[in-house]
Amino acid sequence: MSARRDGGRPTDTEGERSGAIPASARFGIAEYLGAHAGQALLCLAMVAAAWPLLRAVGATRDAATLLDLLLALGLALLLLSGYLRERRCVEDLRRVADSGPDTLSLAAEVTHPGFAEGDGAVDALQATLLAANHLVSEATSREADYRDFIETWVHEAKTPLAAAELMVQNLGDDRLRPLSRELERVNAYVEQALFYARGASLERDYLVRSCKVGELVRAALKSRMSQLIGAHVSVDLSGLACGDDPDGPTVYCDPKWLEFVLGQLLDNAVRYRCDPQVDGRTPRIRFGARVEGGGRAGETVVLSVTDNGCGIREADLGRVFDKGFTGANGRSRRRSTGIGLYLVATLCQKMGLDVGVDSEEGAWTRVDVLFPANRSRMVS
Amino acid sequence: MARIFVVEDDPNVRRELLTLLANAGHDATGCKGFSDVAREALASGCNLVLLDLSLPGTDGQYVAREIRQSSDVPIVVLTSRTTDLDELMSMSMGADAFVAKPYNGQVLLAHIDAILRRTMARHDADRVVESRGLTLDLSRSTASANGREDELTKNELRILELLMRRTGRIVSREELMEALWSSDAFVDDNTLTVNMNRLRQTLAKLGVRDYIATHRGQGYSA
Repeated sequence: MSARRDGGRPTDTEGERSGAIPASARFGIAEYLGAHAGQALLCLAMVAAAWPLLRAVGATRDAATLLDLLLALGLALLLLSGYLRERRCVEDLRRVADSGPDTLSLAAEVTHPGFAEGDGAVDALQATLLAANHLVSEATSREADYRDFIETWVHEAKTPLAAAELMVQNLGDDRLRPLSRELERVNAYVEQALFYARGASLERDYLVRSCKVGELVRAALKSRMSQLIGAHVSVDLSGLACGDDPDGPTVYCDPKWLEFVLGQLLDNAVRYRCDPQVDGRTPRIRFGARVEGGGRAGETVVLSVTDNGCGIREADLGRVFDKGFTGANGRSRRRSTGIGLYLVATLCQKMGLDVGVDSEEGAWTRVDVLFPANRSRMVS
Repeated sequence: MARIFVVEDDPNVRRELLTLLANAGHDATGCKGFSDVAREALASGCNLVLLDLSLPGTDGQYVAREIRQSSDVPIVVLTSRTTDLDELMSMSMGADAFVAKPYNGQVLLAHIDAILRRTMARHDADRVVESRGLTLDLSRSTASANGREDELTKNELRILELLMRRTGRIVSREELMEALWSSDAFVDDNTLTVNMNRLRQTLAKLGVRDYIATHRGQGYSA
């Protein structure tokens, strides 16, 4: 059993937008007559009553028939022109009502039809549109503002953290080692806040570059050095090698984002590690990289991070990427926020990477990050 | 070992950086002001510049470009801005490395060492540590004593260097491991034990016995 999150593939809605009017929005003549049943009946009654009336006032049979036919034709043309005028307006409005995510842009295209009810409806629509756009732009600027604040705040918080970290190291007192570990954890939480803001933002503010998976893994390991060493976790990088290159295959991603993602996986591996006293094995993290579908268009590099920790219950496996989900492990162990893997999924999705998790409870957990080997996404 | 000029506006970080560098055997000076920091750096005749990106009244990237206009001195950019764009910008301004805050001291020193090894031919000549009759040649990766010499592996060299720089003080296993991890050797407990044993055997071959003392539950000292 394994869970998988796919990178966002935008669905193509362009096709149906400017094409023919969908059946559900069509406004037929029968429907028009039904909506204006009173008028139609009145017209029929007038045509029916006209002939006897004309005869009564002394018109010949032929003259009465001709005049009545002319009246019928006139009324029919009147009804038809009314229908044609209304049809465009009704169909436009229905299309707006039925549309999904493009409602706002479709609504902006509706023009005044030239009759009172239609003009009134379109006026109301345009006023609503204006108000909605105003709210959206306000929310967007508020979000951007908040994000700026988070970026600045994180930036500021890192200077005292750096000073404290260096102080601890310069004192060179082994009793302060736990403090150094705590500082590393504070920094990890600060980074989470930063990447939470980045992940939630609508902007595509990452920069895809080509990097070696080995470099990314080593940078992430160094960022969690105190915790990994303190928890006596062995690290095995031998699975990264690809041919003669110990640094493994090249992938395309934002290295800062990916280091953060790997950091979250390392945090989990440390938090849910096995206990040598209880499980009879020492904690270990194994990194592996392989190229799937080599040479073809769908070529993918898979980076896998496998630990031999407590694993994930099968029932929880499908939900580990959900925001706020902590599962059985999170409840029984301390300080699970249900944010780490959610951020992993969110950031990978934004970068167009896939991520999947597989596990056996009580034995191991493996997280795979899938990089499409597609250079076209690269920004130089 | 090398003369390093530190440009950092936060007084606490600056003080700790200077201490860290001095402890590692470097001759470190901090900048006095920020108005003409590029000229100050060049005038100091340093071998390397540590440069913070956010500075009062000026910008680190501007300073880097100014230094680069008249000198090839290596520049290591320190910053708390964690966007890739900053890193790319700094590199295009002529910086040689980019280290994000908060930095682990060992990682920072490893960065500095790697750059100095690349850029400083003279630097290699002084890379010798001596203590209690044992001489460690860092550039040739050899230990010598009593007229005998033997080669050391990268890990053994790193371990012995750290112990010799702290002669008489106990260095914990965690600290040794952090130093090794900082130079990309992600050893575990067992590997460290193996490395220690090999190192002791090598030293014994040189006729130096009991050079490294084990302090149970605390670490090692030389």
